[in-house]
Amino acid sequence: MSKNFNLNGDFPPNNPAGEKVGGTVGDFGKKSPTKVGYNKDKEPFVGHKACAGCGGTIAVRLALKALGERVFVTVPAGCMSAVGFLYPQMAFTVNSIISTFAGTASMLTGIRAAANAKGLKDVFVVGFAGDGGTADIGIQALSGAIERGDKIIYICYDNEAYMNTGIQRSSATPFGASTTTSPAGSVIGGNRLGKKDMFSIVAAHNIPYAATASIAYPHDYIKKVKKAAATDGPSYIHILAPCPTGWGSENNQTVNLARLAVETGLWQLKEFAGGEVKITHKPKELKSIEEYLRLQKRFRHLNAADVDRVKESIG
Amino acid sequence: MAIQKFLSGNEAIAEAVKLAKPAVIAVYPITPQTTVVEKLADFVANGELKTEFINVESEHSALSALMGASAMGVRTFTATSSQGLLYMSECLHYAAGGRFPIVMMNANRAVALPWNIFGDQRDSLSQLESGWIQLYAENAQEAFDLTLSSFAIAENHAVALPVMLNVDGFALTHTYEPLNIISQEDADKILPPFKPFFEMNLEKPLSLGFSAGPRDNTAFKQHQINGMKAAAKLINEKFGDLVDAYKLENAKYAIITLGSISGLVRDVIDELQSDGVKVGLLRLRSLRPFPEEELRSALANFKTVGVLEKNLSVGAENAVAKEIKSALYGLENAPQVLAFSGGLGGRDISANEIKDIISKIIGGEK
Amino acid sequence: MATDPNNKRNPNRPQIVSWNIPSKLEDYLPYPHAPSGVLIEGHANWRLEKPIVDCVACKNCGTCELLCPDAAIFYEEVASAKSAKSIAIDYELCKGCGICAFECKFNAIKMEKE
Repeated sequence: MSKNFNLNGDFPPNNPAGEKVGGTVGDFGKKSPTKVGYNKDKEPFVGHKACAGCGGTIAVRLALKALGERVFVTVPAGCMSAVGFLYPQMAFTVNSIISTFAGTASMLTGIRAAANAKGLKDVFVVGFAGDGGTADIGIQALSGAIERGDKIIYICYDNEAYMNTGIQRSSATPFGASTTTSPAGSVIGGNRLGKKDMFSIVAAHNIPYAATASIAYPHDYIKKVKKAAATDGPSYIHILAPCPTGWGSENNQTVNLARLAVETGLWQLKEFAGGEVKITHKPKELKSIEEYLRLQKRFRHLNAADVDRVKESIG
Repeated sequence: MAIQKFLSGNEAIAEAVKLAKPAVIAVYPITPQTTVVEKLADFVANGELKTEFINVESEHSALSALMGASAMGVRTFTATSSQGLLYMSECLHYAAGGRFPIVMMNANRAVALPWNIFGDQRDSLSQLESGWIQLYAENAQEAFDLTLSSFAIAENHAVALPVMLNVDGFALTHTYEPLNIISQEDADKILPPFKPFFEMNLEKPLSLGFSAGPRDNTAFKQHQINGMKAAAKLINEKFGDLVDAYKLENAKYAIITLGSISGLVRDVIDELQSDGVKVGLLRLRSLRPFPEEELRSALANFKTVGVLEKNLSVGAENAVAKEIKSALYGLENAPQVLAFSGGLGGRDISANEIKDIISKIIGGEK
Repeated sequence: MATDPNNKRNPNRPQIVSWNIPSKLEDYLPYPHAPSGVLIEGHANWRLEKPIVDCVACKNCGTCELLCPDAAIFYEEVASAKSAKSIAIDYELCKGCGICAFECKFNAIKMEKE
């Protein structure tokens, strides 16, 4: 079952040399994307060193389960690369590469260009970057790739701060959240600025397909990943992926918080296609935000006026 | 079969890139490199070059895209200069550490501030430790030849390192010369199709760009050093030596240069030698790999050598001079090494100034 | 603590291979690329609590499998019933976050102290 394993030319049992991978699952060339299933047999992202209860890893795993094995993955410097590529433990079982922090989208561009040059058909070029890697340092490359119409899938797993470096504020950190660079002090109560609206920024490029998602709605997310895969051109999915370490929540609350964000109206599930925005999930009645805030230490310091301001941000 | 064409240095490089047929080219404009990628764009627009031609949004993205393409096992090219080279500095280290055989032309240009678009070598010399092979051309013909060589060096399996081909801004990039442009058939002999040493593929998925901790990191760096050593051997064997010695045989004094100024230095040496002055030229064609052995054997019996570089190390001896001093260290009666900065921000270096430098070398003083 | 690769594992699960710490340069790849999907250790020793599946209460809805961050939940063939599959936990990979137990609509997973 296990054998002594030398990396020089040897391929481990999880990646058998010469074994044909791919097949019908994820093969969009032959089946319509809506009929393509979820790859139950093969784990694409496993054995990583992410914290227990990590939301970002759920976003990565589900997308790759939906895309199948004919993929080329790029992750920038950040949580997913730090936990997934610790030599010799390689948690991605598919082709994968770490890019520079700012270079997710541009590396995807290059991979797609090379795939075109090699005549590779029915392959997906997909990137997973955090909110800092997307909304801050990587936004220039992302904008360029979308504007050029490169056929890439860009997935931003949003945990609302720079978590890999130890919870620093990003432009996607919401109002009021305490981070190590926007701490809740006696004078300033956490982040005083609002969350950057990446979905609208991406939509303003008139991208063929963009969506928001939440890890608490896996079926909605998988459907959106498949739509992205079927898009002839760039696609963007921004998925809310709570971080228990950075949000100060219990490990088992990761999915619950991603659900509460949607149920309170703080995070909307929507799509942009053909120039139009469509809500894909509308809660029947919006829950009050208090429970959502209470479960997270990063909001514990908020005063009544701050809570009111968070409420006002719900559109 | 070669044909003669009247071309600028940049156009010559574009012609060579066309012959090399990279699968992916990433382009971003910056003076004085821009006419390389403009010419390539013309080739693509007119169907003379079939390639994936990407207009990227920055130099950082240019190299980032090429690393992605290179990871897929295809030949890649880009060109840059000055601020652009510095903007991609992170990617320079990344590409070398990742062993991506990218070829990049750098039009040597001054670095801001103050702003200056003219030629000097401060840009590439500030990136000596990025792990790239750094070659320096003397004239447009050499720039053409070295472009093809650069691909062959980078793509050699023992080397597997990116190559930066440095060409003096304006002096070479924009000056027209009659050039020998070899045929596609001959180019294919110098540069066979790229056979990647690793590539992401669907049969054997790979993980690239991984983290290697304190235990493992050094081993990968040692492999990188071995790649650079292999490059030195390969260049000396096949691509015209790391150094170019001119009239050094009977000389006691030498001037060491790199890039286009060497042409004028040759003329001055011709003149001085005919007057009986024992001075010769040693031109560095490669700074990485650094020609340490070559320098030690060529300069062993010299009294004084002077290093003229279009560079300035503020607060220390100039970069190239310092390296030459280090290379000669420990030789019995090692020559004295004098450092000279010249041509900063495109400032002209006259024949008289070179004579001045040579007389300082002979006088053994700064 | 390193995982013992000789522990018997379900052959359909990602396998853990033994790894000899390199002692010389030749033990390393010449270029920094590695085969994907190499596991040399699991994360069983990260766990403070352990999920236990109540197979009677479980309706095999698959929610826990979808939401497991560590790919530690899988469908296992039931020996007693042909072609039947039930949810099982891969304790080598489970970090004990408890998402599965919290999200289960049928209270079929309980967390127990290790």
